[in-house]
Amino acid sequence: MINFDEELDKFKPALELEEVEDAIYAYASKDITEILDEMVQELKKEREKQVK
Amino acid sequence: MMVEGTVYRKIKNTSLAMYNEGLERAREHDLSSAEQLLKGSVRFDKGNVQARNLLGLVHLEMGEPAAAVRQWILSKNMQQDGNRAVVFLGMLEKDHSKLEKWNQAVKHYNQALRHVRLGSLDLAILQLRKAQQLNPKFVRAHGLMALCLGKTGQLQQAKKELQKVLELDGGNLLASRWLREMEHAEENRPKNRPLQEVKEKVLDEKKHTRQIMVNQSVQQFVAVVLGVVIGISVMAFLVTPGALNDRDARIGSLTTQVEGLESKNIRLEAEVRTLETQLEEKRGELEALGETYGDQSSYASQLKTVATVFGHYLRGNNEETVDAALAVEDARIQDPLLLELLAEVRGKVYPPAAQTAYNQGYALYNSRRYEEAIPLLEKSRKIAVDQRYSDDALYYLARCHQLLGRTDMAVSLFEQLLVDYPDSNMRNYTNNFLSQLKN
Repeated sequence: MINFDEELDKFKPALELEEVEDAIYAYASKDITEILDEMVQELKKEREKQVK
Repeated sequence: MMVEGTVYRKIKNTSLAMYNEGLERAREHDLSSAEQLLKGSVRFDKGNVQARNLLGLVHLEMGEPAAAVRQWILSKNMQQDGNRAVVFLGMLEKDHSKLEKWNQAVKHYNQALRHVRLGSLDLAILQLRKAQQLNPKFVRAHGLMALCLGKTGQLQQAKKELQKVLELDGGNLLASRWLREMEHAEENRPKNRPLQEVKEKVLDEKKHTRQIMVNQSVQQFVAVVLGVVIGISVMAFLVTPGALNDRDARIGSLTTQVEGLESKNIRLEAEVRTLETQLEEKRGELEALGETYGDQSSYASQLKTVATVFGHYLRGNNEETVDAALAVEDARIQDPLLLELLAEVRGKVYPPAAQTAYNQGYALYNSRRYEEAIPLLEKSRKIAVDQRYSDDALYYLARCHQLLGRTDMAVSLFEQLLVDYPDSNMRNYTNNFLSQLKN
């Protein structure tokens, strides 16, 4: 049976044109490559600390 | 770049694969799936401008211009030269009034959402109607409208909204699911309808009446045609029994005469033979007459079927109109005016019915309900085979049979697709499956 409140939660506000600029400035999304890069760098730093 | 070359290439390839799949779904007008795949594509590789550009197009098609603009600006920032995003932004800039209309639609949608969260469903519905007037292709507005109408007991209207969602976004699983649940709820509805549903039914009927009053020219034609139908029906059904009774009476009379002469054992055997010859001739003529009236009876029944088609059409019962129109055997209709009117009605009701049947069938296919999908996809193909999705309907019909283990049927349908739609974008998939099935 359709649960109104549950289904309603799935509806989020849509972006308006006036909000596009802010949305772009707020865009700090990293893709998978950058995330993996960060993970590799962190692992390297931890290894260097262990060696010391 | 710290990530090893192989891993980096795999990530890029994944992004490309998701883009390709998203492109396929967009071509099939399965916008929800395309959106998810393309978002995934740019998550793997944010520099994939093709995926980003296509994502923008999908957003625009779903009625969300700001989301589209955002993607294209991000795309343009990543690559200035040779980037279609620049062209898309330019086109939007030129058609500023349309862009503003669509933006207003979004504002009304957002206002409606606020009303819904505060429990004011009537106000939400008003806002959503405005949103739909400004942009009839705004998928989310139709979805939210369906939810509000369903909550206020207006199930028939809610179903129509969900059907609109599926017309715009063929693979919208939420809409498919709701439609199924609403239909299930309708079947189990108690007999005492709430006042709201009775009101809705009356409003529906009034709307049908308005539709009838609008279609004046078709009404005039049909009035003439119905007059012809009634006239011929009267002729066929009143005259025919009379003619047949006449025939029986004549045969009986002549037979009596012959028997009488024979029993008297007279020398007039030649006369008896003459009378026998005349009897045979009469019998032949009257049987021919019976065949004629037999044909007329069948013709009258075809005319009645055509009148049924028009009757449903005038009342706005599109589904019944389609079913009735499919039942008419055109070869039995001799009147060119009737055929012309029939073609006009079919031209109006067949395309949307074929689209709806395809959308529903495709949604069931996606839900792996292949047995249920088959009759809908077949219906779509029966009604129309020249629509932009007709090759897709045939493809998914073949796939259903394939997945149900009916190899011969699947092969036959795949081969038909290659012959009937040589330019289909499902050609490669079809060839692959045919190779698999034949080996």
